Order: sequence, then structure tokens, then C-alpha cells
Amino acid sequence: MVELINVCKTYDNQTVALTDVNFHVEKGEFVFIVGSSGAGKSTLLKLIMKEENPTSGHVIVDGVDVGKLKRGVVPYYRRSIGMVFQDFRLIPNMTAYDNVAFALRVTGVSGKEIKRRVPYVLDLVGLLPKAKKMPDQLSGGEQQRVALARALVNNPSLIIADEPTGNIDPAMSFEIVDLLNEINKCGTTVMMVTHEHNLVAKFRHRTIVIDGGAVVADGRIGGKRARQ
Amino acid sequence: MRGSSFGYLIKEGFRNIAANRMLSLAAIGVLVACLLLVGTSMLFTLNINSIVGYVESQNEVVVFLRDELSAEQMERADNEIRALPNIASVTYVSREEGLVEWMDALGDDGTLLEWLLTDNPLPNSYRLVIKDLSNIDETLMELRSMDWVETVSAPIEVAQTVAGLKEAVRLGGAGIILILSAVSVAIVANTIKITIFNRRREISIMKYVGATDAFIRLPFVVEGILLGLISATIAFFLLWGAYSGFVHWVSQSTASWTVLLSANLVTFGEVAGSIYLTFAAAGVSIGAVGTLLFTGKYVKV
Repeated sequence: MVELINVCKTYDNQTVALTDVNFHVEKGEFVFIVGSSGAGKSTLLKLIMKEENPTSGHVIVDGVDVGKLKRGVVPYYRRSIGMVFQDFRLIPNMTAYDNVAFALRVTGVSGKEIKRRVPYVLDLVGLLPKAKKMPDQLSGGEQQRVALARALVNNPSLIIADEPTGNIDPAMSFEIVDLLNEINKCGTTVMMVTHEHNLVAKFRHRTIVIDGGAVVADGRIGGKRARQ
Repeated sequence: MRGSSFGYLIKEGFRNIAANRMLSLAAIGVLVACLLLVGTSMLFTLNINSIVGYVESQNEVVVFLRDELSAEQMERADNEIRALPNIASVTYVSREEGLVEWMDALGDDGTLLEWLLTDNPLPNSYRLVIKDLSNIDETLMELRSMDWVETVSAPIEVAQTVAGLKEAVRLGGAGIILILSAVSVAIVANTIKITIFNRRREISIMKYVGATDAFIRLPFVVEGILLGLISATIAFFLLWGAYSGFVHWVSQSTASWTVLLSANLVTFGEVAGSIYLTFAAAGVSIGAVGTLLFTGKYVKV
């Protein structure tokens, strides 16, 4: 599903963000990506989202070499990926329903289809009763669930969650990862960046550790390491 | 693009304006001021042209013919003069008619010239009204080169002044319009830039969920065009009111200089259509160009 082959990224100001990164995430896998601040996790996500291009190497997503995508097809590529952020990135003057519908509207989905799909995903994340609430009327965990519904509504094959539990209390954090687990069980690949070792330890998914722009460990916590 | 998407984008354009009311008002204010100056410049040019046209029609070139011309030569002279390109009208004045006109012009004193009736010294002549005074030199050269022409009397200084005035008004008007257009494009572009900055969160979400470049930009283009159209409409009605007031003031004025002006002022009704079309076209293109030029790098996917 996601394959990085000899990926290096050096920014214009000569900051080296990634050095010779190699890993392969299978379709339907759940992978934690951990690392300290400045380790290169954000750059990794930017490369997958085609916000940045690798200086060398290849980023392959679903068989497509992302670095070679033409500008005009990038939006269509991004529709196959659902993105969840630490700060939720909800639009404050829109209801939970409209925040989710927004993702469909801006991709040109018909009004009829929006009315069918939005309640379905809101129900999936357990927020249908709060569909008409504004973001500031929802708790952090609930806001993140709206963001998750928005990421899911386009039926993506890959979900990228960038520290989705960073702004919510520990109990809620487990709920969010549980929800991601459920989504993953339906066949969606999940890549989740996190700082929280307790989550990694509890859910025991494959974990890729990045440090200083390189992959320093890849395996399951408590299990056999594939590479170190 | 689906109809529903198009409707959504148009609605977004209106929403942008409403959401950034103060900024939109400021942009509309500046655009209205620019369009008013453009409109004033247009009306000034139109009125100068109208007055110049009147002055042109009042300035005659008189061509005096040689005395000894035969009837056949007179006919050829008539044909050649009428065939000249820069002539609006030709009036033949025989020597007898010339003398009568002269005597009439002197009024009661005209009787002093009665002795000339038996020995009229005046030549036959043509009175010509020139179409374009800026080309009077060429016309005079053609006239003077004709065999049967004795002399040509022409208002050269008036012609040169009028031609100079027309050129200055044309260049000045074009300069003003050019500068104001550039200012207006910059104003719209800045308004749109601030709108984009205010909505950067939405734009980043739009990019992540896969909105196309065009889909992100179109509401801003709609916003720019709407700002232009609203400003054009306001400026049109303000100019209408102000100009009608000016025409009324001139018509009521007893000052001597306003008499010529009053008789030749263009009425707003005559030019309303072209002024609104110019304003609307300028507003829409300033809005669209201002947005398209400056949104590119801010909303690039």
C-alpha cells in the first residue's frame, strides 16, 4: 500500500529531514510511526500527501509513484487518503454535519449523495446525535471523531493520523485508537504518528521508529523486531 | 462541473463578501472612487469632444477663386473641392452674394458699400467646413495647389489649439484610466489576499480532502467579480446624480462662459449605456484579473 524506497529529503535551507528511508506498509495494515520532535515524521507525511517531493528515492502509494504525480492529478490522488490532525482542523463556523459534508462538497459530490453519506459516517463514529453541534460545543474527543468522520467520508483506502490523540485526554485517546482499529478491521490501511508510548504498548501494532531522519527500528513492541 | 457545485461556488463567493464585510466595504469604496474618476474622465473627454466639434463646425475655411475663370473651369473647381476628403460641407458664395452678406453684416452702415454694387471687387468663393481640424494643414495644401484658387483664408491657430486640446484630452484620459486600473487591480488583489489569509484553515482542509485548484480559486474569483460589479453599479448611479446636478447648475448659470458649455454638454442619457458597460466591464475584469493574478501561489494545491 505504502512503500518508501531509499527516500531522502533535504529542504532548500539545507536541513536534512530524511536519510535513506525504506519501509513497506501492506494493504490493510495498522502502523504506528513514533519519533521525537524533529525526527522527520511530519516530512514523511508531507511526502505521502504530496505536499513535498523527495530529494531522491521513491514514495509509492497504491502502486503510484507520488513524486512523479502531475499537479493536476494531486487532488484526485488525495481523495484516496483520509487525513486526521492533532488540532482537528474543523471549521469553527460550521456544524459537525457541515464539517463532514464540506469534504464532499469541495470534491464535487452531489447534494443527494452528501445527505446519504454524512449521516452514515457520523453514525459510524458515534456522533450522529450531535450532528448539529458546533465544534466549540463538542469535547476534544468528539471533535477528533468529527475529523475522523471527515477523513472517512470519501471512503479512502489509507488513513493518515498525525498525532490524533495529542490534544485529548488519555481515556478519549484509547477511544480514538479503538475507532481507528475498527476502521482498520474493515480493510482500510492506517498510519498513525504518535508520541504516546502507552498507546503503542497497548495496541501492539507494527511500529516504525524514526530518529534523526532515519528509520531506527521497525517491528512490534514486545514482539520480534523486523529491523533495528 | 456539476450544477450543484457551480451553485455552491457562487454562494461561497457571496459568503466571502458577507464574512469579510468591512474589508469588502473598504474595497468597494476605493473601487467606486477609482471608477468615479474614470467616469469623470470619460464625461470630460466626451464633453470636450462635443465642444471641439461645435468649434470645428463654426470654423470655416474660405477659398477665394481667381476672377478670370470660365464656366467650365468653375465647374471643375467645384468638382475638385467637393471631392476633397476632409470637407464636411461646401457652400458656394458668388461675388454678388458675398457683397450682400457683407452689407448685411454691417447693418445700417451697409449702405456705405452701395457704391460697390456697380464695381464689385469681391471674388467668387467657397466656404468649407473642415471635418477634422487636426488635418487642416494637408487640406490647405491641397486647396492652395489648385490652379483656380486665388487665396485661402483659414483659422490655423484655432485649428491647432483645438487639435492640441483633443490630443491632450485623449492622452490624459488614457493615462488616468491606465493608472486607476492598476490601482484598482492592486486593491482587489489585496482584498482577496486578506480573504485568503482569513480562510487559510479552510483552504488547507480543502487541499487535504482533494479539492482541485480551480475549485479553491473560483469562489475568490466570484468574490472579485462581485466586488467589481457592485462598485460599478454604485459608481454609475453616483456619477449620474453628480453629472445631472452639474448640468442643471450650468443651465441655470448666467455666467458668460457657461453659455457655450451649456449648449454643447452631453446629456447623461446619451452616454449612460456606454458608461455602465464600461464600468461593468472594468469592474468585472479588474475583479477577475486582480484575483487570478494573485491567488495562484496562495491556493496552489
